[in-house]
Amino acid sequence: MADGPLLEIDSLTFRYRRATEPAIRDLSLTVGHGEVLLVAGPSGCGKSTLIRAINGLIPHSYRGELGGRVALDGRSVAESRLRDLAEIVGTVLQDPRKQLVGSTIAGELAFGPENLGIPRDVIRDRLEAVLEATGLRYLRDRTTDQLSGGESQQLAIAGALMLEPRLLVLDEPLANLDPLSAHRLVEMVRQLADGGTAVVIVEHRVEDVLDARPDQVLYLEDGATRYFGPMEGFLAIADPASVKVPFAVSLARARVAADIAAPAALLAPATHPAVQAPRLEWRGVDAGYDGRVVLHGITSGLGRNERVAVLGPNGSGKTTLFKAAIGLIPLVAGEVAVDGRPTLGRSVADLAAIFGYVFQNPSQMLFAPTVEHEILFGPRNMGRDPERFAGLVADSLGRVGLAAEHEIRDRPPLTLSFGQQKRLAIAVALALEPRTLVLDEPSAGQDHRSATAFMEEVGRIEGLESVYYVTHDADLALAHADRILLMRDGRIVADGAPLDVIADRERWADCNLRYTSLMEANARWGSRTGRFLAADELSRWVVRQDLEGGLEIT
Amino acid sequence: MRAAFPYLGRGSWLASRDPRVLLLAAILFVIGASQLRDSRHLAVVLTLALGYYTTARIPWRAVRLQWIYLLVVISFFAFFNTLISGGRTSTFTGADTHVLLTIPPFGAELSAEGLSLMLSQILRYAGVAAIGFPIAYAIAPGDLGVALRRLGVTDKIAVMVDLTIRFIPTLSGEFAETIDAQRVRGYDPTDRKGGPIRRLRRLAPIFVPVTVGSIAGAEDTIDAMDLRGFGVGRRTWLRHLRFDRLDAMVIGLFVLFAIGATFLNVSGRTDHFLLPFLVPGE
Amino acid sequence: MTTMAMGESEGTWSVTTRVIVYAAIGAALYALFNYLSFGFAMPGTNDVSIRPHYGLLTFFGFAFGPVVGFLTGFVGNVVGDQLTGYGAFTSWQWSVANGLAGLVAGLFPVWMASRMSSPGNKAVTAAVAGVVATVIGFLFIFVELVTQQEMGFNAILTTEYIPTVIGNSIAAAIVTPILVLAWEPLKEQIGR
Ligand SMILES: Nc1ncnc2c1ncn2[C@@H]1O[C@H](COP(=O)(O)OP(=O)(O)OP(=O)(O)O)[C@@H](O)[C@H]1O
Ligand SMILES: Nc1ncnc2c1ncn2[C@@H]1O[C@H](COP(=O)(O)OP(=O)(O)OP(=O)(O)O)[C@@H](O)[C@H]1O
Ligand SMILES: [Mg+2]
Ligand SMILES: [Mg+2]
Repeated sequence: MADGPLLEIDSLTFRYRRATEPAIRDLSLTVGHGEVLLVAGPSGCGKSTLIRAINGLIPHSYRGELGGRVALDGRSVAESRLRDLAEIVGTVLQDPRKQLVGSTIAGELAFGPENLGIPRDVIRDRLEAVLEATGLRYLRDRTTDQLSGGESQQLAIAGALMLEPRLLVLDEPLANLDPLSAHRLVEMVRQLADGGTAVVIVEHRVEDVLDARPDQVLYLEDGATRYFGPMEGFLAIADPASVKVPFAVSLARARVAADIAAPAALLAPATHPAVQAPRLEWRGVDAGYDGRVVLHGITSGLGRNERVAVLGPNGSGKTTLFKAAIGLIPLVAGEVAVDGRPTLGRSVADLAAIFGYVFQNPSQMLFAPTVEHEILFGPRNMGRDPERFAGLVADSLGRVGLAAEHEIRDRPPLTLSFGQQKRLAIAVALALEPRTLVLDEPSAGQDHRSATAFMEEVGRIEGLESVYYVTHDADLALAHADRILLMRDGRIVADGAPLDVIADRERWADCNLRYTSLMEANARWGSRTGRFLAADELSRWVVRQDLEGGLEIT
Repeated sequence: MRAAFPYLGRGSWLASRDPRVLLLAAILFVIGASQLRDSRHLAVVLTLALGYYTTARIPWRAVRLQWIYLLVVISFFAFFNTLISGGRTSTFTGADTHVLLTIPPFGAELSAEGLSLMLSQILRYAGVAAIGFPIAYAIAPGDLGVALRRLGVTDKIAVMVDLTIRFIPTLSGEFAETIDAQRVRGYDPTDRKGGPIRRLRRLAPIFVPVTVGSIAGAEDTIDAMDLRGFGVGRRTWLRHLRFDRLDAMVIGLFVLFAIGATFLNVSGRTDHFLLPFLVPGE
Repeated sequence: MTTMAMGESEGTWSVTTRVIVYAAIGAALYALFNYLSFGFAMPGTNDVSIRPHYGLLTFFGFAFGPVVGFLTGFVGNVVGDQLTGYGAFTSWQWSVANGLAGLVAGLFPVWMASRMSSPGNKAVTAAVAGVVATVIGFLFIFVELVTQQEMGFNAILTTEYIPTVIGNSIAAAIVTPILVLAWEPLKEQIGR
C-alpha cells in the first residue's frame, strides 16, 4: 500500500520505566515515501527516544509507559514484531563502531538478511547492489576494525540498506566525522531519498545537513514539539545558540535583537599572540605504532600562552602527535622538548604534571568508586601532599563547573552523563595542576550549545597558561584558537592564525575540510575585524557596522 | 600489542579442506588416542599425526615456542606423575616394578615401568598437539562460527563465537588506550611491588574501564542486533561450507582410527609396553 | 491508552541478545588477556601463577548469569588458544573447566539472592562465589584420568588441580568484588 504516508505518529507519549517525566510528549507527525525529515534539538530532548519509538525498540525492547500510536505503512509498530519491522525501517545508531557486528565487510552487510533467513544467493546479489549504490566496493577486502570513523558510519548505513528498508533512520550520523566524510554521507542520504527511501535524520549540525534538502524539520525541546514544518520556517525561528545554522540566519537574528538591545560593547582589539617562548616543541619527530610510522618529520613549537587547535582528516595523526609529545609512544626519530629541555628520559607521569592530557573518550579512564577518589588518583600516584587533597577536589570540580552538582563528590563517575564525564575528565587532569591542557575531541558527542559553552569555559579556567586541542569542529576551533595546525598524512601542512590558515581554500579542501558559511563571512570581513569571530560575535559586529552605516551588505 | 589470529597455513592443502574436517579430526583423534596405551602404537600414531600436521604447512618459526612450551609442560607433568605413581598402574602392579633409583627425601621411585608410562603419555600428547595446532593455523578466523554451526551448535552461539572474534581487535585497542590514559595520571603498569593481593588490587584502574566500560557501551550493539532481526527464527549463513569427497575420506580415516583404537582397547591388545632396555639385567 | 512493553523474558537460562553480546565481550577479553599471557608467578612458588583476568570470568558469571559465565570461560579459552596458536581443542579439558567455573559463579546470585542486600555483602558474596566456582569448576580436569590413563589421581591433584585452584581463587577473590562494586551503580541505569 504505497498510498498514504509511510510513517504516521499520532500524539505519541513515552515515559521510560525508571523516569518520572515522559521523554516524548504528545508528538504527532507524518513522513511520506521518499521524504527527508530532519529532527533537531538539544541533548536529552528525546531525539533518540523518538527513533526508538519509530523502529520498534519502544515498546518491544524498552519498557515504559507508551501512549498514542506509531504506524508504519498503516500497521501499528506496537503490534508488529521487531523482525517484521526490520524489513520496513533501517536504523543507524549514534556510535557506528558499536553496531558493526561482522569482522569482514561481507559478514557485516550480510548480518541482517542472514537473521531473516534470506537465501544465500539473494544476499549475495543484494551485497553487490548495495556496495555499488553506496560506493563502498573499495572496502571489500578490509576487516571492520581497519575502518575510519567515516567508513564505519557509511558501512553501518549500507548494513541497514541490505534489508531494503523503505524508511531509513539515522541518529546523529555526523558526530566524529571530518567535514568531508560528513558531506559525503549527507549526499548519500539525498540520493537514497531520490531513490524513494524516506529518511529520518537526527542532527543538530543543521547547516551541515542542508545539502540533504530536508522536506520537513522537527525541533524538539524536552520531549515536546517546538516546531514542525518546512526548513525555511525553521531557519526563521531557529536559535543559533542551540543549533548550528548558516551564518545568514545568525545575522538576521542579530538584526532583530539589535533593535531592542543596546549595541554590543566595542570589540577587543585583535589578539596577535606575540612571538613567545615555546612550551612544547617537536624537533624532526617521526613516530608511529609497532613498526608503522605515522608522523613524518614533525617540526613545530607551541607557545606558553597560546590556544592551539589541530585540524585534519580522520587518521591524519592528530592524536598521535600529542601521544608522541608526552611519551605515550616512542619516537622513531627526532626529539621532543618541553620548556626548551629535551624530554628524553622523563617519565610520562612527569610530563603529565605539565600537560593535563584529556583523552577523547572519558569512560576509558573512569574507574574509581566515587568522583572524589577519581580526582585524587593522580595526585596520590604522584605522591602529592595529602594536606591539600580536600582543596584540590573542590578546586578542580569548581573550575569545570561541576561543583554545584548534587553530592557530586560521592557519585560513581560512570553514572554521570556523557557531558559531565567529559568535564570530570578535565577536572581529573586539572588536579595535577598542569600549566597546559591537551584535549582530544573536546566537542565530540555534545550538542552545539554545550560544545560551545564547554570551549568557552575551558578558555576561562584560571591558572592555565595554554590549551592545545584536536577537533573536527572547524568553526569551533577557528573561533576559539589563536593558532591553527593543519595536519594531513602525518605531516603539518599549515600553521598560523585562523584567518591566514583559511585563506588558502585549496589546501583547506585537501584536508577534508569544507568552507562553512561562517568562514565565508569571516573571510569577507576578516580584514576589518582583525580575527576570526564566532557566529554571534561576528553578526553583532556586522549589525553594529551597518547601524553606524559603515558597511554595505549585499 | 595488536592481537591477530595466526592464520598462516593459508592456501595449504589442509587449509583448503572444509573447516569442519579439522575440528572433527581433533575430536576423533582424542577419542582414539586416549584409548591407546602401548608406546609402539602411539609412536606409529604420532608419525601419522605429524604427516597430517605437515599438510598445513605451518612455518616452524611461528610454532617453535608453542611446541617447546607444550612438550616441556607435558614432560614435567608426566615425569612428576611417574615419581608419584612409581610406575604402578592397571598394567603394572606395584609388586614387581624395576626400580632404577630412589629419590630422597620421600623416597620417590624412578622405575623402568614409570619411564615407559611417561613415554606413552608424551607420545599421545604430542599427537594431540600435531592434530590440534592446525585448527589455529589452517582455519580462517571467519569460518569458525559457521563451522561450529554446521557441527550442530545453535545459531545464537555460533554468532556469539563470531562476535567474540570481532571484538578482540576493538578491545585490545581500548585496553591499550586505557593503559595510556592511566599512565598520564601517574599509573605505572609495570610496577611489580607488593604481594599478589596488592598487585591484583592495583589492576582496578585498567580492568574496571575495560570491562565495565565495554559492558556499559554495549547497549548500541544490542539494539543494532535486535533491529536487524537477530535471534528470532532460523538463520541463513552467507558462508557456504561444502563437504567434498576428499573431506569425507579424511574424516573416514579418522573414524577408522577411532574405531580401531577402541577395538585394540576393549580386546586388551594395547597395554603399556615395558621398554626392555630399561630393565636392568636383561 | 497505555501499554506496558513486552520485551524479552529474562529467565536465568534464557539466551537473549544481551546475553550473547555480554558473553562475546567477556570471551573476547578473556581470550585477549590469555593471549597476552597477562599474569605473574606467586612469590615463593614457581608453579602457582596468578592470572588476574581470571577474575573477569567469575565477574561475568556472577553479574550476568550462568550462560554468560559458561560462554565467557569456554569460548574465551577456546578462542584464546586459537590466538596463541595451540588450536581450539588442544586443551579442551581446560576450556570446559573454565566454562564450568563461570557457570557456577553465575548460579550463585540465584542461590544467594537473599544474602545480597547491601553492596558490602554483595561484594563478599562475589568473592566467595569466585572461589567456590573455581574449586568446583576445575574438578573437570580430572577427566584426564580417562584421557591420560597414565596420570594418577595424586599427580593431577598436586601438579594441576591445586596450583590452578590456588592461583585462580586468589584472582577471583580479589578482582570479582572490585568489578561487581563498579558495575552495581551502573546496572540500574542501563537495564531497561
Ligand atoms: N533507557 C533509558 N531509561 C531511562 N531514561 C532514559 C533512557 N534513555 C534516555 N532516557 C532519558 O530520556 C530523555 C531523552 O533521552 P534521549 O536519548 O532521547 O535524548 P537525545 O535527544 O537523544 O539526547 P542526545 O542528543 O544526547 O543523544 C533524557 O532525559 C534521558 O535521560
Ligand atoms: N593504537 C594504534 N595502533 C596502530 N595504529 C594506530 C593506532 N592508533 C592510531 N593508529 C593509526 O595511526 C594513524 C593516525 O591515527 P590518529 O588517531 O593519530 O589519527 P587522528 O587524526 O587522531 O584521527 P581521528 O580524527 O579519527 O581521531 C591512523 O592511520 C590510525 O589507523
Ligand atoms: Mg541521542
Ligand atoms: Mg584522534
